[in-house]
Amino acid sequence: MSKGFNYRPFVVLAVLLAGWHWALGLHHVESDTLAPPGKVVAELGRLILDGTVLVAARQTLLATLLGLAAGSFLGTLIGLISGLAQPVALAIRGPVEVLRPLPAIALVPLMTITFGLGLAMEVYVIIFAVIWPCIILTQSAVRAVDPRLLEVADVLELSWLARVWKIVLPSVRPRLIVMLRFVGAIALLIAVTVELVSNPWGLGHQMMIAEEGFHPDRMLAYLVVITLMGWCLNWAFVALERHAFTPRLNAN
Amino acid sequence: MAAGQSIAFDDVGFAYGAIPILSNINFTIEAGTISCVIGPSGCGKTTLLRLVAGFIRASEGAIRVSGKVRTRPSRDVAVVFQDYQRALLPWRTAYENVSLALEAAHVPRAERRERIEVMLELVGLPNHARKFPAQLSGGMQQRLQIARCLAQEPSILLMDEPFGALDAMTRAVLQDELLRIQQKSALTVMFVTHDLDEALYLGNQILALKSNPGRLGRLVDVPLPYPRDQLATKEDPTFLHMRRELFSLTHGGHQG
Repeated sequence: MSKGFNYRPFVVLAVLLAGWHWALGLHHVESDTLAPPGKVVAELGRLILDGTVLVAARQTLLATLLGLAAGSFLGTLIGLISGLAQPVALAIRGPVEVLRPLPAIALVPLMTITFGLGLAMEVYVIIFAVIWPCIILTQSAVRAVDPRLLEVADVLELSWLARVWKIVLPSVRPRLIVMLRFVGAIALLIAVTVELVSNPWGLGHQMMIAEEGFHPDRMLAYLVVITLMGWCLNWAFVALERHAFTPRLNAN
Repeated sequence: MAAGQSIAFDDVGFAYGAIPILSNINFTIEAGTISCVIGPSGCGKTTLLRLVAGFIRASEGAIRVSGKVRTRPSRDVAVVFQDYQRALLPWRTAYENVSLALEAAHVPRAERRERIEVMLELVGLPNHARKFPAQLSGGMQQRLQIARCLAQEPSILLMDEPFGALDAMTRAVLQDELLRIQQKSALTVMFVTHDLDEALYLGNQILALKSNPGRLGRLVDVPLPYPRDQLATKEDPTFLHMRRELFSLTHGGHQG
């Protein structure tokens, strides 16, 4: 982190907001789709005070994190095993290639029939969206482990588990963290989409209600919250990445 | 450290598919001695070492370590790779890198500390235990790899041009330390190099390979006494005589 506070993005943001406010005010627009930033902020304040936004945000965050955790864990595990064992890689290649191109959102009706509306269905759709990139990225990371290190493991007669734990996982760790950041964004995207499409739960659903009730200020307030959540998630992963990379980079 | 074991090459041949790399290799490395393998590049020196390590298996014949046919890598045969920066774990400190060998041998945690410190002391790195490999110079990294190899308590040490990437001064120092450690522990050492002077300086015996396919050119004993000395040994008439005699073998036939 640099020492001086970087104010430039905020200046740009302030100019844009002022422009937005001025444009609406100038034309005296009474719009069902747009609201001036002042009204959006006021509505956001009201939603925070009465707690609705917090409940919705917690629901979306819970689904995102659960789906991300389960999907990336399973995907990494499958990627590790198939990256190390060629027969396993060949065995799963068919199913992976068939299922991977399927858009996760298309599973919403199926998952709704199976699990009903609510948390479980949303988490399963996120798992489905996240697991394939995790398998593929982990697999390629494992294959990129320096063969020399694997020879060291051979000479030392490390067990399979010790080999994975002491050699392979630390080798692929930087790539896994980048992967997590990448699929983290996918998880939030899918969570909000599922809520917009059908699930009566979370920020996406609240935003839909606001839109259908012609409350552009409320709709935009939820959009702001979703944006903030995306930033926070990304920031958390960047922090994790930075933390993970520092000990090795303090070289001469 | 375990006493050395002998390595016997019994009509060993190796081929990649139809391409012969090594053929008709017959010789023995006695327990507790240093044998240096020299030869022009591409003659199969490293392949020979990888066969002994157990990374690859002979297409013909067999390699026996103390009479037992070798089929796979094992802890009693340590390998010092030339590319030390690839053979060390960059996320572990020097101390933890040595520890890997002890963890692999299931040495109880309580015993590790002392043994790691002894090893780091032995290779001259006692003050660098907490540094990561990237914070060490090339020579120190190679010392660290040697420390890890010794920590696995091998009876055989295989070294694949271990000092080839180091500057001349560091190389001389490490040669002397290798000799000191070997004299103390009676390890069997197989040392691959393309440097004839290095081979003569270190070895009890020199094995000169010819190429296409790799085969035994000459097998000579080096009658120079130990301990050897960078100046005196290299001025010894025997050293100079052998150097002249073997020069043509490693430099494609023409005299220098």
